[in-house]
Amino acid sequence: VNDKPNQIRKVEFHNLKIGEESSFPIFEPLLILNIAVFNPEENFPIVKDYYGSNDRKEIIQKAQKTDCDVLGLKFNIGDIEQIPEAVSVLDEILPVIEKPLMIQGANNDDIDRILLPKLIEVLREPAIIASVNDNTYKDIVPQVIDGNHILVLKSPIDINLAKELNILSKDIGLSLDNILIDTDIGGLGYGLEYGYSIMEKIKLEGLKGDEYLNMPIISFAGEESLKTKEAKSDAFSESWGDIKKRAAYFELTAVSAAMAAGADVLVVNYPPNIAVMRGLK
Amino acid sequence: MELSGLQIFKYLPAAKKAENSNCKKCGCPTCMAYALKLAKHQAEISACPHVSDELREMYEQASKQPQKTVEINALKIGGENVLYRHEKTFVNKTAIAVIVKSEEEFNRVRKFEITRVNETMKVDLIITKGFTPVLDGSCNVITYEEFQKLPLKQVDGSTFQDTAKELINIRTSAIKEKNDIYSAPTYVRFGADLPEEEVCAKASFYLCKYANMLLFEKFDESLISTLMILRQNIFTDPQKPLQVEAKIYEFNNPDENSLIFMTTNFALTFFAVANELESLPVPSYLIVTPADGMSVLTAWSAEKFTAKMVARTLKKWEFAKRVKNRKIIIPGLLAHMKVELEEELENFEIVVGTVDAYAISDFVKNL
Repeated sequence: VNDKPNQIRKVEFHNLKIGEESSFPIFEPLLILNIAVFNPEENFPIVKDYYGSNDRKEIIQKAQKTDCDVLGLKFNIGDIEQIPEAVSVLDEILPVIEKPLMIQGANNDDIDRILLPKLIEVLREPAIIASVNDNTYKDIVPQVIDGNHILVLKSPIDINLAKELNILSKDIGLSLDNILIDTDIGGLGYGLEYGYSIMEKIKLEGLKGDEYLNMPIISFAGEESLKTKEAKSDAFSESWGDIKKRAAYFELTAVSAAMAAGADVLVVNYPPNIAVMRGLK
Repeated sequence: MELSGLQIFKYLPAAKKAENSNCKKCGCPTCMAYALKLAKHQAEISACPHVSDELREMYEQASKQPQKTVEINALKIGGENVLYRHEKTFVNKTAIAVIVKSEEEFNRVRKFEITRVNETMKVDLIITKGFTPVLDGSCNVITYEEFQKLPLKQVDGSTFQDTAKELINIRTSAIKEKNDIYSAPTYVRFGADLPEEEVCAKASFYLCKYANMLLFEKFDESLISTLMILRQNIFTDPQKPLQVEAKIYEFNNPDENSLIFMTTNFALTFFAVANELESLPVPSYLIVTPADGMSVLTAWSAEKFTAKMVARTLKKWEFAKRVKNRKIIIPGLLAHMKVELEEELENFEIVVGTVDAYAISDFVKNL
């Protein structure tokens, strides 16, 4: 029974406010600063320039000085054999963590279904776990329930598949109040509008009271946009402007558009962009 | 809200079985036919002499354009009908306008031009203040005085939230209530003293919701090009699948021994694959088959991706003659087509590639 029919669910996570809005866009989204922590070499060029170091603890300390609500740690391993190393990396850096965490896997089903449960075992406090899809949720949901974590459910740019994955996860015991929806989204200029419209549709249905679509939405639009060639290559004409500025703007623009489409949680990679988004008051 | 044919019919004589039922004076055989035409705006409300004042008022209100369109030479601003792009395509792209105060600035803005996905974009409107430029007809230029006379509504809240909420309120009221006081197209002006990143974040938001024009006092290429790409995304027609031209694309100057990939002409698939191929350390070809803009699996199940079609595409571009490499890498989702494809393409061996584009670089490393 949905006792708050015209409101998005409230997700309880540390003392942060996620969801509970009765209209959209919401103007104070949760801001996550994400770092490729396992292999910092793989951070985006402007991100690497900013940190100026490949030392994990140094990067984390710099990241924690920003005004982010949550620190995201991406375990960008390329092979199942690296899982034990990933686990010891997390164990090693946990003592320097001062903010609530998001733990992100390798975005590879075969790796994530083993990696994420292992990483969760090391955690001492509830974290946001990103992400599972219809192939991997069964392997990861049980540990998520045990640790009272928040789980990001990712479906491929489709409102019905998003709803179905929410229902499937609930069927194996996950509380609907522990879900963040990731609609998936193309990068800026690369089909961003599809994910944008699915976010709007999900939000409209959620606000109409659909109890399987009224979870807060998380958006990785910034990461997708930093992957584009326009944000990576300076092989563009003068009219495209300076590549470093353009890369930062590509993320800002995508994140800002995701906010307009109704995202409750914005994942940011370039640390100075946290302050810019926070400044949108 | 638009009225349906049935809603209109209820007010016509035939629905009430009144006098003059189906009188044909409107030129339609029945009242019902007339009602259906009215709903589609294919008939005039004045064509029926028996329309009640009530119906006329309702119909006129429902047919009213919620937002006025302002035209500045070839540029159209406003005229929107919906709140969400999934309801109906937005009509006129958010205009990007720049105020320039010197010949030098003017030339910089005039020169700006980017081309992306077959669209060449320039600044939509240059507003000159305090000087008279030499015009060459390549841009839409007006003076500041002319700009001030345009029937546009400036939205200028004291904070980001105030401005955003007012923009949303104006658009919502215009569309839901069709109230004239909200019908003027809106714009937001960014002063020259604002930090550029702040302008970027705000302008992106307002472009989505719901400024009809963004007016910049300071010009920067990276900012404007980024905003124009967002605008391309938001203002595409959601009913039309995005397609790219079906042909053989080349990445990093391939030669006769380079890698050969294949996919369909769905723009999202194409861009995802193209982006990966471009960043590979080795050159490659990408064969794009005509599949009405469908993604790989959809195209296959709709029989828009068949072995015969692939053979035709290769033949059309005389591909077998151009390359010595005889291996074509197909999308992992189409692994089941390997045999069928090999039978049809006698000259080529089929290699099953990755399901996701992002995995291509790892896949290539292990080839």
